[in-house]
Amino acid sequence: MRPTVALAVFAILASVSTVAMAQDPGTPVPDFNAKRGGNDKMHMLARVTANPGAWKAADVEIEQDRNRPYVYLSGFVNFNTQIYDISNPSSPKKVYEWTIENPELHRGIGAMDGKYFKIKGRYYYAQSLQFFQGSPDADLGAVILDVTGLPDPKKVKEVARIRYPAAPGGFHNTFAYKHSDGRALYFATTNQPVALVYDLEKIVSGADTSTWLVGKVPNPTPFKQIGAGGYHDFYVGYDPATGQDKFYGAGLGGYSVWDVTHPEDPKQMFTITGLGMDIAHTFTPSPDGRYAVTETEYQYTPLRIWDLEPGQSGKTQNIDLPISAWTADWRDLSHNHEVRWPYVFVSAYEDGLQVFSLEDPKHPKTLGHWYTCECEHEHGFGGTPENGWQSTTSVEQGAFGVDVRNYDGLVVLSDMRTGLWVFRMDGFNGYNGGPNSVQDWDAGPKPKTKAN
Amino acid sequence: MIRGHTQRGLPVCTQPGEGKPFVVCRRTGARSAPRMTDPQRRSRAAENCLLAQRLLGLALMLAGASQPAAAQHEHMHHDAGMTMPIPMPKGMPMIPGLMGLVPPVAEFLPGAGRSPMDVAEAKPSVVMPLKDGDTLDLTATFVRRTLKGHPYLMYGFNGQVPGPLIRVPQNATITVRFHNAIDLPSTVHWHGVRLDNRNDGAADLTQQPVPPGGTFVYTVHFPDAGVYWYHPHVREDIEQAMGLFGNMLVDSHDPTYWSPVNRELTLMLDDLLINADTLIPFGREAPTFALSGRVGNVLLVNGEPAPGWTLQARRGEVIRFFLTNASSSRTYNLSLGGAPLKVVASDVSKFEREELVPSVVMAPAERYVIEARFARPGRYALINAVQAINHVRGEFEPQVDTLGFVVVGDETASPDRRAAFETLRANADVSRDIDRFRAYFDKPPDRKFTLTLRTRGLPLATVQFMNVDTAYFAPVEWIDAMPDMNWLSTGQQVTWMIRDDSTGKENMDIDWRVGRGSIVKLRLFNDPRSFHPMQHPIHLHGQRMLVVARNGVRNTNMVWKDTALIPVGSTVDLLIDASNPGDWMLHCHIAEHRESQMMTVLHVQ
Amino acid sequence: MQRNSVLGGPRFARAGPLSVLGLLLLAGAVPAQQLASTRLATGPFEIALFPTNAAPDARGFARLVYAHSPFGVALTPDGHARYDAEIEVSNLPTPASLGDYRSFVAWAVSSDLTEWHRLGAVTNGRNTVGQAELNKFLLVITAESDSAPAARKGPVILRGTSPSSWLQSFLTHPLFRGVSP
Repeated sequence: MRPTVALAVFAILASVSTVAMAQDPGTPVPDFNAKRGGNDKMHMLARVTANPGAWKAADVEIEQDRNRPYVYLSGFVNFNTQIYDISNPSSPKKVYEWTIENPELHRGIGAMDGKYFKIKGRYYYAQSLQFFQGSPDADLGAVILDVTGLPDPKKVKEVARIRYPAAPGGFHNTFAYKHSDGRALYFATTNQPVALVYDLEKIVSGADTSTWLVGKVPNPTPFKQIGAGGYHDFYVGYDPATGQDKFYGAGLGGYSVWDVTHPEDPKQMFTITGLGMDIAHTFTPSPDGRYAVTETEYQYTPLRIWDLEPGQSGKTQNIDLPISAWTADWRDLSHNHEVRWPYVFVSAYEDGLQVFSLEDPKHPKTLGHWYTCECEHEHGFGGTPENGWQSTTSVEQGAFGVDVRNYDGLVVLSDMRTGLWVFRMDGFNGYNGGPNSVQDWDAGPKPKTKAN
Repeated sequence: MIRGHTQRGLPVCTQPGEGKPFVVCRRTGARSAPRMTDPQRRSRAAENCLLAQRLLGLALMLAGASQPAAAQHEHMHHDAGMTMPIPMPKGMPMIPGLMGLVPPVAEFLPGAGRSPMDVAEAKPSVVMPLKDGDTLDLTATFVRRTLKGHPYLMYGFNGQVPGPLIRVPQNATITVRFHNAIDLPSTVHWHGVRLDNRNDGAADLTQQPVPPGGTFVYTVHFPDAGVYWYHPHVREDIEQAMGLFGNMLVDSHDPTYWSPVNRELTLMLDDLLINADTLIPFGREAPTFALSGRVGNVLLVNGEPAPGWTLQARRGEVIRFFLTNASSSRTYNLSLGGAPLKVVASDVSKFEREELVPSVVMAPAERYVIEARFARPGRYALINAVQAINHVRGEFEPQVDTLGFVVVGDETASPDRRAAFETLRANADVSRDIDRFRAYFDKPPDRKFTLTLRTRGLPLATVQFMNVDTAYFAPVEWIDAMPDMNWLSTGQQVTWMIRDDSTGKENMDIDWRVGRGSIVKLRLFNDPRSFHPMQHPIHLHGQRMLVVARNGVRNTNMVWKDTALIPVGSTVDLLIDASNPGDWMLHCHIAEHRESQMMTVLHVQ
Repeated sequence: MQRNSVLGGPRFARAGPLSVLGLLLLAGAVPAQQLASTRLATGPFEIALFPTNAAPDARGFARLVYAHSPFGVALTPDGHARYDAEIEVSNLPTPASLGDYRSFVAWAVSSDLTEWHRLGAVTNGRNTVGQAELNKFLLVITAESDSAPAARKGPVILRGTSPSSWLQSFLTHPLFRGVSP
């Protein structure tokens, strides 16, 4: 390792060492070649290869209504969306597949993130897409499918395409949110230092495209000076204590929280910045907004746990010290996560599905895991020279996305290398503990309980 | 100039000139910097500083450090007081990590603060017809040039910009008494002329530079008809850019050498880099803009800033233009308002065959002789049109500069030269001359040189940006899309290289000796994988050469050249007629590249 | 078989994880086995051609050469480079084996797929066709019912992108956007 790189790594590690100590040590992590299967609490119900090739899936989304047993898998470089019927969770059945036309002429990382939503009794699915500048559809951010008619594939219709030519490269991450003002909103990342906010009803109703985009949430990153530094991921939630809709954004430069009660005019509240946090990736608060789990995207970094109270209360404009941290294996990197307080479900790249508890936020405790990557450590991003993929070493391989069905606790996970997985975890049979990423599309956000 | 606030946790960048390193943000409190929540409370400079710091950290994490950071910084000093901002292309922001930095050289402008009003306004070029045995006094002087209402102190030969047009018959020999009345040492190089080596004007090779106030006498013999040019061979990045250049027109004794036309004109194209009403200073110890060369934002035709050049013409008139690119770095793509263009000659000869062309691509130091016919009344714009690169958008964008106009009236030109214009001549004399070289077209290269560069001590932000933004390099840089990075690079950090593949020797260390009369095949490869690949117009002094192949594709219409454009990623085979004894430079004619050591010597013994 | 970095050598090796994105963007959904045996482009004049499922064994590689010009660099008056394409292909099946087709035809296609400029017919071996005059373009070989169709109708057999397609916005770079995925 070069001295400067070593220095940088040391500095980053030093910044988290004190909080990382707070994690329950749990059981020792196994050698990488032993990373197969899971612990006793975790039960694998199904796995589906989903797509051919070394890259099988990006994110995953599960519907929450009891009568709609559907899972949406974003097909990454396969440029497709696959919809699975998991009426029998042990035997997912693909019922529909959408693929961009002329896929062989497209280039890019393709179908990345998917979100379903419901408007006036109809169900929709928004597939975010990322095509490379120079590829067809470089300005295409998302395709909206009307999926009300599932499981009949003939009744699935494409209803709209969201294009954003001002910043080619599409939407990497999205969030569908039922706003307290009643609107169904769609937040999307772009290659600009803003998150775009679309009115989904305008989109699906065929309104003039000029009316679709209703707001932009700035990323107050210093990188915006050069027009850069977009958000990577975000969460939007209703704070019953204040009656505010709040946007929790992670992007280049750090994390920031905005009041989006009026999405046309977002108000910045506070930020989280600090050494090692410029590559902010994911930001998910607890139901009451008191705590948050964040991810930064580089090897060795843990998930950091924050007490947001000083920021939420206005005591400070910036928070720079987490209260604890968690990692599946310090040699690796965790990726996305879903919070069902106090549980955190993590798609942890090489470490597959991981679940930990924040019952004591200062002492995260690992509960369950299943290694889905079935890969060697640091042997390339999704492949190896042996199977034709030339790349540099990276731990960014394996589990990509995770989602949780609230009414029964079913967990679905997408793994870039291995496809779609379905799990149950002992002791988690569902969740009704307050606001989370699942929206009440009919009633909208309602005041709920505070975190434990 | 960059001072951040001193409130808790805000970075404070040091002031250039305080003797502190660049891009160092000094913290004054907390262990981490709070995000700017009220932009009004923070100075933009402090933001820049913080951003620079973060970019460095990000670059380290994401891209790895290709060069030790300490090594990047230790060569950067900034006590020069050179604080001139660089005019950026429209829509292109300055790279934050570079904001506040200045090149690590002292600034230089002609006259050291002298008022331009103290000297006479430059005059247009005057034709100096000379015959064999004549003598010309040629003086490099200060001149005032008024461009778009602003006076500037620059240089000129005999008070003219361009310098006097020396018109001589082929095979004439003239004497030029050169007087250096500027504030830099200088010489005169007779570009393209196969003259006696002692008169080549190559500083430190064929003569010592002429000091300010000094004199040197050149004997210039003109063996070849065509258009040539003269310019200094000392700090061309300054002296040539400031106006020291002029044409030479060598008339053949053969009255049919050229097609009959109604008129002949010489056009010298160059450009100047001006910010508002101020010249961007040069580097005193070494050139700035060492990476891409200084690409001006004011284009000029015969010293007239665009679009001021105007030519009145008659309907149906056929005009022969002798074009010379006197720019430091810019390559042109010229057209004339849709008028048909016929290319008939280049550097040292006519083409084997005349061709109609859609436009004229001309690299620095190249000359082309074209003929145009203006069939209809109206205005014909002389334009330079390129597909420029916008790095922010990641797209090509058309860039069109109108240099001037040919205004064609209703009066019909006489005599009518249409028939001659529409005849594409095959020049048997040229082909016969080339015939004795054809047997050597396919011979293996005698030498293979790779064109590349080495950098040391560039700003870290430059290094990292180049590392991450190098997925594509255009074969030819038509504009300077990143002038901030470019400005900060000097000949002290950038070494452009001609590397001998067989020995690994570089530039002036290459030992290249051939016998007089040798026919030398030189293969040049412009390495696309270097830190900053760029096209190079390679010029060989005192000889003539043929471009026999580009990327393995045989050239089917030869012309004798002294300068050949080598695009990025290209392999070009040159066949050199090494008939003129002496020590002859081979170098890139991007002035800043040559001043960054991109030169070697061909010894013809 | 060329096994260097897909993005062209040392520069990209230095880019570390950034090359990952480039790999994806270049290869798209090319099956790993096909990618492994595809010659990869390394310079500003080279185009790797990737097979599609229509003819998965087909292989191709193209080199852009400036069209004839007395200036060496061939441009249109508005500055577009004028390139001929030297296309070397192998393992093309007989066109008729793919349907009612008789020829394979090379096209320069604008990035939004709205402009299809026919370059010429190609067969197994080396072919020189031309000219492409687009800033960024796809180089596509399709099966067609004749060798000089007015418009593309048949399936895509090989496809690649001009080196200029690698010109990307600063903003799309992970350095400015955060990192992927």
